[in-house]
Amino acid sequence: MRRRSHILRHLVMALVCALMLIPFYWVAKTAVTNENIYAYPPRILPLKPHLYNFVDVWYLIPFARYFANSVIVSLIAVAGNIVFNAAAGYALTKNFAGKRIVVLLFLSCMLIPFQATIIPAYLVSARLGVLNSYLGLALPLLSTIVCIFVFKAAFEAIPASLQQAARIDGLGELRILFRIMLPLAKPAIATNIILSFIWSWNAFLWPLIITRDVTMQTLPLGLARFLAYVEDTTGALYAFVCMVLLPGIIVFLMAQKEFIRGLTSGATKG
Amino acid sequence: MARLTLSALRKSYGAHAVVHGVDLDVADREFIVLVGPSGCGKSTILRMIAGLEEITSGSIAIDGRVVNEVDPKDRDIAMVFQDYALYPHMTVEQNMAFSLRYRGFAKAEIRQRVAAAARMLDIETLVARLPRQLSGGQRQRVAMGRAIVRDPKVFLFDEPLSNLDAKLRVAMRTEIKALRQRVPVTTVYVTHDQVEAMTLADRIVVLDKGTAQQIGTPEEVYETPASTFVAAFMGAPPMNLLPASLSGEGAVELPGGTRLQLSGASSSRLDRAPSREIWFGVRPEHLVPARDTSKAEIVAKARVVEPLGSDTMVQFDLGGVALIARMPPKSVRAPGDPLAFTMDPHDVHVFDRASGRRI
Amino acid sequence: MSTRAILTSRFFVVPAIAIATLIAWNLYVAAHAHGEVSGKVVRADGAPARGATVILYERNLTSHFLEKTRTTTDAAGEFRFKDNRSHQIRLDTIGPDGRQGQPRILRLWFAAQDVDLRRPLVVSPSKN
Ligand SMILES: Nc1ncnc2c1ncn2[C@@H]1O[C@H](COP(=O)(O)OP(=O)(O)OP(=O)(O)O)[C@@H](O)[C@H]1O
Ligand SMILES: [Mg+2]
Repeated sequence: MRRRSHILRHLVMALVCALMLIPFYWVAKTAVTNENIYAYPPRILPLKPHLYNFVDVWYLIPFARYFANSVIVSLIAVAGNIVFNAAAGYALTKNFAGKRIVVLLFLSCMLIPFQATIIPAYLVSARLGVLNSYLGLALPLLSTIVCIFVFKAAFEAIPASLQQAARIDGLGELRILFRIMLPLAKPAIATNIILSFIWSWNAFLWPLIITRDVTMQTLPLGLARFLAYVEDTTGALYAFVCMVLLPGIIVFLMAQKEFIRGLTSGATKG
Repeated sequence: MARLTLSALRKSYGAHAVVHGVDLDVADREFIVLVGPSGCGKSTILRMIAGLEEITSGSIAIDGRVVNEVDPKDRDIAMVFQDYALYPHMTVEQNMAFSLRYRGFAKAEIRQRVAAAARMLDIETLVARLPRQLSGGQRQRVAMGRAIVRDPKVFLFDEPLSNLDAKLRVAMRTEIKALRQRVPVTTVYVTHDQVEAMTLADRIVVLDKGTAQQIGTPEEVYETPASTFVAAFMGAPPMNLLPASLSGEGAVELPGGTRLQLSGASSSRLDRAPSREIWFGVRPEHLVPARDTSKAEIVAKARVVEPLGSDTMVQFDLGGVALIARMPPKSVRAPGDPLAFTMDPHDVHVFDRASGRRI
Repeated sequence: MSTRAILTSRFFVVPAIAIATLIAWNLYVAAHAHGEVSGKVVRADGAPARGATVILYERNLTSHFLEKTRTTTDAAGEFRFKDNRSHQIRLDTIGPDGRQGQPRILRLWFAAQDVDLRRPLVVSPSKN
């Protein structure tokens, strides 16, 4: 009885997964054929699949350049997120004057959409002289409030006595953070890596505004540019989409175990 | 070599005072035990000594140097935490070596110290393991090893044995006592277990609600408790305390009409009593079965009989107050058996009713 | 974290494999990207077509093919281009008699990939 309901449950979950994956499949299928997606009746299996669309993408736009730009910007954003969010999250586990106000400010800032802050962000970037640079591209993504709270929750789950032992052992706050707290907050780190990577990898509006040179553009901008060249819905476009998605999927798969734990930790004790 | 001096030490959290002025002078190599019920401020005092907690007023001095404003790491103290606080991501060896690494010790020196401590604590075979691969008792040893390698001026222990099961606790207690002979370092040890306090301490500080009720050797604290609180706290089962009154000339009137004549020193003390209303105290083992019932000072009937093997604990009522007596095994067998006790006047305690202080 | 633990973690292994693959691929590309396109032109009856013209078109961004160079086949009907820079080319043939053969579109794995056509290009048989 138990076994049967187990199998049934798995079947249902497999079905739901399959439904969720259909769009991905369709993208991948179109990428390896040149089939028109509006073709009727639609073909389930690809006919004569080939990978030349990917080659086309590589040469039709400076893919390597965009890719490198995206990787650099994302690495900066991920590194910034880990360092800044961990530091902020750690600070929020302490008691200090005005902490409530700071937390309140953070929470209310989460309600403001990024589009609303684009003009000030642009002006700040311009003042800093980082327009059209990698740092400028990564700047608004260097820290994310949600992820600060992810770190805060993770740090709060670590027994306070560890910090105290470290203080007695002679560590300063920064060292406590990097030697004791961070190694014990791996799920939070994974959550930060995945979320900040995906956000910076997919960022479109901000790179569009802040880059002036074609050589500084990132993949999402490349996608837009690509659309301008290739009006028809050919496989090349879908191949390009696959190439943009792939790194994000790889990063997610690498960090997913810790990621899931990070999102659910705090929900249950232990 | 270190003396530790607490003077008028106070601590408040906002308006809520937790420690109300504790004075304590710990001699070099002395083992002091802070004991008291949960929430009395033991840990708070210890953490103030460690520098983990801000001092509201008063001062703490180590070897004459006031350390109120000194960072924990510069106080030259080592602390063993109740939950051990071992770094989960480091091996036993790394845990023990950790503080030395940040204190600029040479690698060879660190290795040698860790090895020596591991040998002393009999954890040499465990050095490559992670804390989660250790049993509770082994973790406890590692925690002590981490403190020992530092060779600090003062050891601080915060209920180090409270997470162990009863048997292991007794074993570790003996081990701490043995260790203490090999590593005689000034120590402040916090516990709520009065047996630990009695067995380990050179001197005991009995705390209640943030004040030191009594500071003395285990014998002093046990034999001449300074207050009803100390009398009731130290000893298991606790001292019998009865509301009684003085009727002059060293006589004490107990509930149920029993009169007890105290002679000599104890009777002259009674003259200094601020009021006639007192608490009369006698430890269960000091209720001596009377051979001759007519000379007995207390006569009653057993209500509950608890044979423990070595002794039999007997509960009975006296004028509506429940008392407990420790009797030889098999001397009383069933509830309802007649009881008759005498008391040695030197073994009874008299406390002022209002203040609870010893008279 | 020990060096060993870092070296065996996914976060090291996966990027390392990706980078290794990338390097290997680029080495392969560098060794095979001379832009040489060679092949043979035959007539419908299978005889080598001597003196046929082969035209190389490269594809550009706007999906049109532009002529790059042309050459003529030798006695064995073979031809060879040495300066293809594109990843997608079209080969047109014109027989010695001026009749056009079937154009062939070649999609390459990378630009200037060296290719040797396995199937010869076919032009119509000459009248004689
Ligand atoms: N951060 C804090 N803020 C407010 N009150 C506190 C704080 N820490 C401790 N207290 C209070 O101080 C009192 C003493 O706490 P402490 O931890 O010293 O008790 P304890 O004697 O160690 O008890 P236990 O045996 O349970 O460990 C308690 O009443 C506690 O509620
Ligand atoms: Mg405590």
